[in-house]
Amino acid sequence: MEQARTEPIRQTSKKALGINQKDAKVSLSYLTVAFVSLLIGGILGLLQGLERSGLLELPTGVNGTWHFITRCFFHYFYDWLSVCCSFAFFRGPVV
Amino acid sequence: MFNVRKLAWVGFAFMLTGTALVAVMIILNEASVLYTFYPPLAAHPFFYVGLVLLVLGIWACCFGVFINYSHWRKAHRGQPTPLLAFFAMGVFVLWFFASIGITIEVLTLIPWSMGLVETTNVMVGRTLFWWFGHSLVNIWYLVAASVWYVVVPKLIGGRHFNEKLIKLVVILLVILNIPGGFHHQIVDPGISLSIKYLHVFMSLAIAVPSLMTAFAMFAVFERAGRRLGGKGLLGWLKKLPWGDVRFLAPMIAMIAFIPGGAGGIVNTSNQLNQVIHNTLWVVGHFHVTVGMSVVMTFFGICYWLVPYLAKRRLTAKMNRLGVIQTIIWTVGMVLMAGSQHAAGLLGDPRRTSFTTYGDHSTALSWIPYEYVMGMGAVLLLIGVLIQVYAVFHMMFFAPKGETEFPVAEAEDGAAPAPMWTERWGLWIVLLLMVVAMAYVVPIMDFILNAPPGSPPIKTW
Amino acid sequence: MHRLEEIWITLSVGLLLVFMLIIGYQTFALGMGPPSHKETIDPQEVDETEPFDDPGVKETGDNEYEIVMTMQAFQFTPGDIEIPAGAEVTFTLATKDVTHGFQVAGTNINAMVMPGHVQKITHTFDEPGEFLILCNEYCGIGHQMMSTTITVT
Repeated sequence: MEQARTEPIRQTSKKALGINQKDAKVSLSYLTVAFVSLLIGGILGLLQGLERSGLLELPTGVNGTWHFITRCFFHYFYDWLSVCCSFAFFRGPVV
Repeated sequence: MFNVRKLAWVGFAFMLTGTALVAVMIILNEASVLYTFYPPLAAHPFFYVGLVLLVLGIWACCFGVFINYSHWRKAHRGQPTPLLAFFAMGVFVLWFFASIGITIEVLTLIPWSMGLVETTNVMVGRTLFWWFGHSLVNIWYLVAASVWYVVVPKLIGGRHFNEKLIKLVVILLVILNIPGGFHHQIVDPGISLSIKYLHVFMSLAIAVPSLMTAFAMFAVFERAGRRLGGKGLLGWLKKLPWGDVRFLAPMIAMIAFIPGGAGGIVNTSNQLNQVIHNTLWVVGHFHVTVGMSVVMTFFGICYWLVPYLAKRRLTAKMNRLGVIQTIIWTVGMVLMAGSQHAAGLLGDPRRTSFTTYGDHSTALSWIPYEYVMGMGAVLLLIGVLIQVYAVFHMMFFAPKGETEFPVAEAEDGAAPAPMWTERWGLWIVLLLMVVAMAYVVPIMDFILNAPPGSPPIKTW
Repeated sequence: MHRLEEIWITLSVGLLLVFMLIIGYQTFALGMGPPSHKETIDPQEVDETEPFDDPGVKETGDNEYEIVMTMQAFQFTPGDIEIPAGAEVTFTLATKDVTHGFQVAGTNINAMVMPGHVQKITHTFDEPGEFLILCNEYCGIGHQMMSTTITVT
C-alpha cells in the first residue's frame, strides 16, 4: 500500500512525467487554436468594449453579431485551452 | 482499437470544423442569436450543425480519456489515480454530462430552423441550455483549480493538501455542478417559487467545495511560507515567490475568486438576482471569475506548460514580461469588472450596444462607468498581445532545454486517498440523480403544460 | 489541522443553511419571491387573447393598477405610462415574438418575458419621477432602442 501511494508521485517528482512527443503535439495543437482565438477575441473585444462605451461607432446592422463573435472567440479560448491542459494533465501522470 | 491520442486528434478535427462553421455563420450575419441562442431567435441551420460538431469533438476527447483511465486502473490495481489525472477525469466527466442538455436542444433546433418542424418549445430549450451553460464555466474553473491544488504548492516549495480532501472536492464539484445553471432562470415565468427555492439551495451547495478550496489553499501557503522562515501572523506571505509569474498569475487568480465567489452567491439568491439579472453586474461577475480566476491561471500555466511541451526553457526575461503582463491584466480587469459591477447596480443592461435610450437621464448617468470599462478594455488588449507573443515565443523561439512539469508531493507520512474515491460509476449515478432531482419536474411541466410553440424568427 | 478543517466545513454548511432560512423567509413569508407567474398563451395569437387584446393601464382598486402590456421587437405597448405616486402596480406581460426582458431601471422590477408564457410582476412606486423601462434581453437589431417610460406624478 505504501508502495502504491508513493510510486506515481515519485515518478512525477523526478521530471519523468510521461508526456511523449506525440502527446505534446496534441496539446500544443489545442493550445495554438486557443491562443489564435484569444488574439481574435481580444481585438474584437476591444472594438466591442469601445463601442459599448460610446467611444467608437461600429457599422450598424451588426449589433448582435459584434457581441456574439467576441464572446464566441473568448469561449473558444477557454474550451480549447481546457482540453489542452486536461489532456496534458491526464496523460502526464497516467500514461 | 481506439487510443486516446487518436481520439484527441479526431476531437481536434471535429472541434476545428465546428468552430469554423459557427464563426463563419456569425460573420455572415446568419446567426446573430448571441451565445445563448434562445429560440425563437433562429439562426441558419449550419450554425447549429457547427455546434453539434463542436460537442462531438469534445466527446471524442472525453471517451479517449475514459478508455485511458480504465486501462490505467487495470494496470495499476489498488493504486489511487495521481491527483492531476483525477482532476482531468472530473473535467471530462462533467463536460460529457453537462453537454447532453445542449445537444438535445440543438438537435431539436436543426429541423426547426430548416422549416421541417413548425414550432419549438422555448422554455424547454432555454432550460436545456442552462443545464449546460453554467457547468461549462465550472469546467474551466475545475481546470484552474487543478493547478491551484497540485501545481502552485510545488512552485512555492510546499506540499499539496490532504489528498482525500482534494479528491472529495473534485467529486463534489462534479456531482453538484449541473443544476447550478438554473439560477439563470430565477426571474423566468412558468417555474414555481418552490422549484426556484430548491434550485437556490442546489446552486449554493457548490459554494461548499469552493470554500473548502479556499481553506486548503491558504493552509498550503501558510505552511510553505512558515517553512521558509516566515514569522508572525502574516509574515509567511512575504516568503512566497511573488516575482515568479508561474506563481503570481494563479495567486492573483485565486484572490480574485474571493469577490468572484461572493458575487456568485448574490447572483444565485432569489431576491438579489432580481436586482442584477441581465445587467452589467453579471458581465462584471464573469470578468472577475472567468477573466481573472480562470484566465490568469491559464496564463500562468503557459509559462511552464508551453516550454515543457515544446522542449524549451522559460528565461528570466520572459518571466519578467510575464509579471508585467500579469500586472497589466490585473489592472485592466479591476477597472473593467469594477465599473461593470457598479453600472449594473444602477441598472445598466448587458447584451446591448451603446445606447442612451433617447438621452434618458438614468441612462446618461451610466456613461462615466462605461468610459472606465472602455479604458479597461484597452489595457486588456495590450495584455492579450503580450500573452500571445509570450506563448508563441516560448513555443518556437525560446532557448532549447528541459523544463520541469511542477507537481507537488504529499506531506511526509500523509495517508493516501482511500480507494472509494475512484468509484466513478457511483459518482456518475449520483450526478444523474442530482440532475433528475433538479430537472425532471420543471422540464416535464414545460412539456405537459406546454403553450403552442414558437416559429423561427429573425429580428436582425 | 484536522480540527480546523472540521470547524471550517461546519461553518460553511451552517452559513449556507442560515442563508437558505433568510431567503426562504423572504420568499414565502414576506412574499418577496421573484416573478414566477404560471399561465400560458398562444405566442402567435397574443393580440386576440384576453387581456392582451386591450393593452393599457387599468385601475383595479384604491391606488392599485394593472398595466397590461405586450412586447415585440422593438417596442412596449402601451408606452409612456403615467401613474400616481404611491400606486401599487402589477405589470401583466406577454411577448408577441422573441424573448424579451422587462426591467425598470432604479427599481427591483426585472423579469423575463418568454413566448408562450404570461409574466406578472408587482411594484409600489413611492417616489415621483420618470422611470426608464427597457428590454434587457437581446432581441434583435433594434434591441438597444427598445425602451419607454413610466412617469410617477
